[in-house]
This record gives sequence, structure tokens and C-alpha cells, in this order.
Amino acid sequence: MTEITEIIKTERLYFDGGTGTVLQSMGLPAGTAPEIWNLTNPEKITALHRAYLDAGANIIKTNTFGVNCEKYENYEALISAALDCAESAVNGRENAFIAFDMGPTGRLLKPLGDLDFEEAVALFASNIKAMADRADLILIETMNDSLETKEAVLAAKENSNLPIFVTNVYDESGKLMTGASPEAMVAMLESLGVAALGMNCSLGPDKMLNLVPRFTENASVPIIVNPNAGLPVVIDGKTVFNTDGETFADYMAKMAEMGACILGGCCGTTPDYIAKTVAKTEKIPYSAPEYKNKTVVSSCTHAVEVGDSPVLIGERINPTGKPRFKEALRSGDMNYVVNEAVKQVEAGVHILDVNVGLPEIDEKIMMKNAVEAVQTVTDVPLQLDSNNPAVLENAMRIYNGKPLVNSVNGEAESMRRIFPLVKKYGGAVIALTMDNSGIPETAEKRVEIAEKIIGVAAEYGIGKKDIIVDPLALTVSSNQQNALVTLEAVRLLGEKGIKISLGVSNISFGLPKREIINSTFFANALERGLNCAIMNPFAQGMMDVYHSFKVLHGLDAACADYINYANSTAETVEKSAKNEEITLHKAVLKGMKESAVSAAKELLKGVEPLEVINSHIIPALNEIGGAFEAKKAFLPQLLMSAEAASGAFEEVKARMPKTDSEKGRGVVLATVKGDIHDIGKNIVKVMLESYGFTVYDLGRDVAPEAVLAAVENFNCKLVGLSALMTTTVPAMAETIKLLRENQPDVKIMVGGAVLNQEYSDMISADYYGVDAMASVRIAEDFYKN
Amino acid sequence: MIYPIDYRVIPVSELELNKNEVFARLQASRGADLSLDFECVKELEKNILCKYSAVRVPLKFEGVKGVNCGFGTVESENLRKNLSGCGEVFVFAVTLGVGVDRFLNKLSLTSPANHFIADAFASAYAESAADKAEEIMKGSLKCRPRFSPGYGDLALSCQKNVLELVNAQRLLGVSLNKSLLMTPTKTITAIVGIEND
Repeated sequence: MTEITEIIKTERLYFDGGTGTVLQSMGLPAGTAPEIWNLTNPEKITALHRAYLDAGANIIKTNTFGVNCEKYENYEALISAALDCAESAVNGRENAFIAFDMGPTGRLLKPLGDLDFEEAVALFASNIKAMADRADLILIETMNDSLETKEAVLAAKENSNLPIFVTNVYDESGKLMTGASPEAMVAMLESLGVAALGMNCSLGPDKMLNLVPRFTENASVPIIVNPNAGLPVVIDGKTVFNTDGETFADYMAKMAEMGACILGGCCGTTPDYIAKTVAKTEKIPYSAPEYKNKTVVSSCTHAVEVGDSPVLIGERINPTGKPRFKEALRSGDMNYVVNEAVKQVEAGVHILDVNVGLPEIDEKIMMKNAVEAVQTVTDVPLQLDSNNPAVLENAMRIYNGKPLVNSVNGEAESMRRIFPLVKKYGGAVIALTMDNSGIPETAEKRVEIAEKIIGVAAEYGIGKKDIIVDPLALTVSSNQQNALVTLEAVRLLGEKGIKISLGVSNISFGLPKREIINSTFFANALERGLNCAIMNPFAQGMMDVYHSFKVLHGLDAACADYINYANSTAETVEKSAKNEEITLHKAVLKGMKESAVSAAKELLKGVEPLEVINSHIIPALNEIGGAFEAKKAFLPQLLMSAEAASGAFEEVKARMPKTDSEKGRGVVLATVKGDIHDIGKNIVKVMLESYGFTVYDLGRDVAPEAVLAAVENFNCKLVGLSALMTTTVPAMAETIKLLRENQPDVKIMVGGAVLNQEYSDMISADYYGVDAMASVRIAEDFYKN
Repeated sequence: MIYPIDYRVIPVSELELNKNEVFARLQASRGADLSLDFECVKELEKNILCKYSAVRVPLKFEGVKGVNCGFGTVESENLRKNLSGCGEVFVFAVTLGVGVDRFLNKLSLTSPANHFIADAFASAYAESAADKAEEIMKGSLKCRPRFSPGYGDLALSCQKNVLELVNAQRLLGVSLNKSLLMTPTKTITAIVGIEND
């Protein structure tokens, strides 16, 4: 029999329709899971499959949607029985295929839910192993989370060689529940190597109609459409749907004309719906999907195309030459990293480079944490940047979307290590035009290396469109030919239809006023066809070039982006002039962070750092703290002031000699294991930071061992623990016990909604913090003694 | 009898915040001198996608403590008391959507102050969403105050069946974690008794 992956390229196939509703009409009691019948009424499941095949379906879904090892101890028997039913139904039929069906786990992934990435992969993997390749394809369906979809695909790839089909659930806004657009899903899934993709379930065929073009315009693989029979209603305790078979089939015919390749149904559809769909579509000529030559990367929400309009890649998440960043990485301060991310996105970058390499830290863990944190706070795609393939693999695995990988080069070893990762996890990759002999001096030789890399990538099944070549900018301070060679390489690569990226600012290394050279070089490179620039979005000259280039090249309709940009730059100037009029004391008191930062900067020009703290920040904090304690100010005001003070503190710290720094006044903070409520902990953190304490924030759901490790690592003798649920107070007691056994001189403060002094005594904490100010008083008291 | 699953989106503009609720959640006293004009709340509102799904089903009292609201029999004297004199109930779930969780999660990493404020407002919005959903469902019917799993002696363990009855996973994207807490977190499920004529 011809492989299904070949057949779908040349002819239209039909999926079956709904299972639950049809089984209910066959006597399945409401509330009973359909998969139970695989073992108790297998003949009915087989009959259902046969009814669909008789109606004209070619692909039947095994009755395994709701099965997994967490829900059923006998999942293997349920899966095996489902496959038996499917096999006996297709037996002896031509052009009939079995899709092994996998639905979502039914739990939400971290950080929003409590399901761990690898736990989810393992759940899917158990199903795939139990299926033992007894199907023609694996169908991953009804997924409303892009990351969970990726986990299922990875589990399938790691445990089977069967083709993978994926359908997701899009809501009225045309997005998955967790925010991904069709374009983002196409980018991620094609890059992961699925054979067909599309949508199912949702609200009915009418709603899906509008989304079809968004798939056909972007996907190179066949599109699947399996809608519901409209909206569900309950009749006599049974769920039925409000679109009849005739209307359903009319919509399906429209979608077939629009280029949908594989048609079927979901909830509420019956063999009759499929028969009508087949009848109305079999004469419509099949249009095979065309190959789309688009270079695309994606985030958990949207796709970014590397095409005509220049793409800006923010370079600031990189510790090179940034002492404060290095300090943040050493102390595991993810807030610093995420703030860099947010600021760059606000400044207008399309992609963020993430590099957290420091010799003294575990880069693998740090990179994973950084990627998770940055994906939590921003929705732009990431460029994963490390020279260690193991670090890249760790990040690529958990990345939500299709990443840009930085980088591979012309050395055989580099390609041998990087390309398999790109093939497995998906991604586009930056290719540096250098090899064992170094960086060639001529543009032609650099292009040769680029072509060699593209050739080797093809051997791994990675297309040219997913290789973005960086012909390397070298500083003109050492050789004035450098810029000309790079610019010529850009031109040559562009002529060959190869996508190009550059780390622009390298061009001026060693020169004064680098931004002048950088922005001029950037303009020149753009003129010659540069697609992506790794750059500093806070350098106004660079942003000026970007915005004016777009206007001058007809890439900015009605100059709208430019006008916005020009207005916002004017506003910034005005704002900073206003900020200067506000004193630091007032800014902290009123909780105005931006003003506090600029006032602190201004003050530091003439006042010693310690003086700024003691005479300006602390008195203002004490004033608002006092008002809070007297119930004249409230928590929101106190917190806004604390954040403003923290912003000012950052400025002071940067100018303080190391010996004067507040190092030594540290506090380890954690929300205990099992508890994901971290508002209280975060409040304490900002209060402590505003008073200049160094906070080692371990986050939420933290194991006792991790708290102990932090105490030992940072040699910090004050620990704050929070818990919000009564069920997690035992975890707090356990953490205290472990600390007492191993670090007897450590002092522990506890707080959280369910705690009181009595409870705190019972679990033998040293201090009970009744509110946010209390933690500051406790810490001050601790360090005074 | 036909009991449609009533499923709809409630525009955020139709949600009316209860100021006292907001003050309480901000830990400020009633009528405190505190402006509620926060920038982060405008952002929060953009991230709300409020949906609800509800069914109207016959109510059965079973045995001494048992009550069946269409999602199996549960034992709860408090719920029985709340529903005495009713022949039918609405069972519903209403959520502000996962976008709110994503937004709050982002704030937890970027600004504790805004996180605290936005979380307080989001909780107040969830309450007003439940109020609004109830108002739409009830029309002119005379109903009892809503009663949620976890209230009084109604065990939280019935949450799973409640969510299944209103098809919350597929229609609203609501799921349960291991501790039986719902995600998206700003989600409310409840039973509303319809009084006999």
C-alpha cells in the first residue's frame, strides 16, 4: 500500500467524524467515557468505524482520545483494544487508514498550571509506546496549547516513525486558548516535521471558514479541517449540535475549494455528515499545497517572517561587558533578565537574543530558566544563543514555538552537532561564514562557506529558507577593508536569495562614538539586502535608520510606523525634562518609578551614593511605611513607592564602590513546595529590595532542598518563606526542619495568608511577618544584631 | 425538555466592578483615600476574554443528604438547604480566560506592585463576571444566591463533574490541576437554584 504521506500530496482524503455523540446514540450512557467501550463493547466501536468507512471516510481515529496512563491504570489494554477494533474495521478495505488518536492531557502546563514539561512528554510517550506502531499515522488533536502540542509531537518523534498529523482548536478570535495564531502553529509544526496540520473541534464549520486562508497561505503541507457540527445543545440529557449534515457539507465544500486537503468532522458529526461531505466535495478538483519559500520563526503567540521588512534582534540579554548583568546571573536574579527583555520589546525589537553564558554558572539550567521567564513576559520569538550545543538543546526542547538558533558555522563538527538539533526540535539557524581556517578575507569566500553550510543542512532535511547567513562584521578599527568586504558579502548573498543577518555593532569595536559608525554601516547593509540586525534598540541612531529605511523603501504604509516613532521620541524627551523637576523624595513617596530613577541619576552627579540612600531614599520610604502602619496609606501605595525606591537603588548600586555595597545584607526568599501563590512573597521582595537588601528569590513551588542549597551557596543566614494554602504549611514546616538540621544558625521568617503567630511558633519559625513592612523591620533587626 | 448549553462571551465593558470588593482585595479600608486609576488595570482589561457556559437542569433530592444537580449525586446539607423549594438549577462556569493568567504571571516577574493590584482587580472582575452571567441566565426567574463547590460542606471534589457538565474544558478552556484548583485561575463555578413558581 502507498504511504499515506504520499497519497495526501495528490488526492483528497476524508477523516471520520465524532465519536462520543454517535456512541451515545448507540447506548453509551451520558457521563461514561467512550474509551471504556473498547474493552466492554468492542463490536460497537468496530461498527462505528465501519459506518464511517462506509460513508466514505478513509481515515478512522482510534477510540483513544481520552486515554492516558494518569487517568487509566489499564491504558495499555484500552489502547490495544481500540487498535483491535480499528484493524478489524479496515481489514480488507482499500485506501483505509488508521489514525492513532491522542487528545490533550486535560491539565494546564506550568507556569500557568501544574503540569511539568517532561511529565507531559512522558504521558504522551506512554500512549505511543502502547500503540506499538499498529497505526498508519499519529493524530494529535483538539490541542489548545501550543507547548502541549509540541510535547505531544516530540513524544511521537521520540517513540515512533509514523507520520504525525496535528489539529488544534482555535477560538472566535482565531487563536488557540493560550494565544497562538495559525501562522505561529504552522511555523512550529512544519519545522517539527509534521506531515499534515490544521484545525478541529471549535465552534463549527462557519467559524473555521475564515481561518482556512491563513493556513493555505503559509503551510507547505496538506491542511486538515475537522469541525464540530456547530454549537452544542443538550436534549433530554444528551448533547447534540445545531448544524445539520447538509449545511455542514456545504461549508466543507467551500473549504475544499479554498484548498483544505483532508476533510472530516469532530463533535456532533455522524457518518451521515461525512457521507454528505464526500458527496459534495468529491468532484471539486484537488489542489495540492505549494511549497512556501518563507523564512519564519515563531513565539508562543505569533510568527515573525524574515522577508522584505528588516527584522531587529535585541542583543541586550548578554552578560558580555555588563558587570550588573553578571551579578544578576550569579545570584539567579531572573527579574533583571526579564526586565531587559521587556524594555527591548517596548523599544521595538522583533526577536530577542538570549545569551546567559558565564563560566561560573550552570549555563544549561540558566538558559532554560531564562527562556521560560522571557517567554512568560514577552511574546516575541527568541534567538537562542550559546556556543554549547547541550545548552542549545535544553533550550530548544522547552522553547514554545520555532526558535532562531545562534549559531552554526562552516566547521564539520559544528554542523554535525547543531543540525540534528534543528531537525529534531525545529528552528531556523544563524550560519556564521567561518570554518576551521578562520574568517575568509574576501566576500566570495564567505559566500562559499555559506553555500557549503546550506548544502550540508539539506542533507539533514533542513531547507535553505531556514538558514540565515551571518557574513560577519569585523571592526574597521583594525582593517578599513572590513566593512567593504562584509557589505559585498551581503550583496552577493542577497542575490542568491539567501537570508542575511549581521551583528552590526561589531563594526565599530575600539572606536569612539560607536553609534555614528554603527548606524551608517547599518544603513549601508540594509541597502544591500540585510534582513536581520542583531543590535541595541536603545541606540537611537540605529532605530532612526530602521524607521527611515522602511519609509524610503515603501515598507511602511502611510508612514504610520515612522510617525508613531517620531512622536514617541518627542514624548520621551518631554517626559525626561518633566521627570527632572521632581525630587527623589517625592518620586519615591508618590511611587513614580521613572521619575525616581532620573532623579537618582541627577542627584548622583553631585552627591555620594550612600548619602543618596540615607538622606533621600530611606527617609521617603520610612515616611510611606509609617503612613502604611498608621493605616493612612495602603498596600498599593506602599508597593509603588517600594518599586520606585528599588529603581533608584539600582542607579545607586551601579555607582557604589564594591566595599560599600549592601552585599552581606542578603535574604533568601521562597514560596514553599506545592504552593504557586507568590504575590505575598513578591511583595516582601520588593519591600526588602527597596531598603537595599539583596534578595535571592527562589520563586514559587520551591523544594526544601533548594532552599537549603541557596542558603549554603549564597552564605545567607536569613530566610523568608511564604505559604498561602493550609495544605502547603506542612511543606513550610519540612523546609524549616531541614534548615535547622543543616544550618543551625540560620534565622527564618514566615508569612502568608494562612499563618499567624501561633502557627509560626508551632512550626518553630524565628519570626512571623504580619505584613510587608514587618519583613523589613525583621531583616533590619536581624542585621543590626 | 431541551436544556441548551448556554455559551457566550461577555464583553468586558459589560462587567461592573464592585468598588467595595476592590477595596477589600487591595487590603484598603472601605472608602479609603485611594485612587483606583491604575495603568495596569487598563492592561488587565485588555487581557480579559470573559466567557461562560451554563446548563439548566432538573434538581433531585436523594436520601437524607444527597442532592443531584445534573452532575451526579453529592452530599451537602448546606447545598440542600440553599436549594430547598427549587425544582431546577442552573449550573455554570465563568472565566476571565487564560490571557489574564498570562498577564498576571508576567507582572509577577516584572512588577510586584502591579501584580498585587491587577490580581485584586482580576478577582473582583471574576465576581462581577459571575454576577453578570447569573443576571443573563436568570432573566425574570426568582433564584437563590449562587453556591460554589468548596462552599460550606459541598466538597471541592465535585468540581470535575461540574466542569464536565458545562463542557468547560472545550468551551472555556478550563481545567483542574492536581489540587482541584481551576486554571485559568480567575474562574468561578456555581449552582443557582430556580425557585418553584
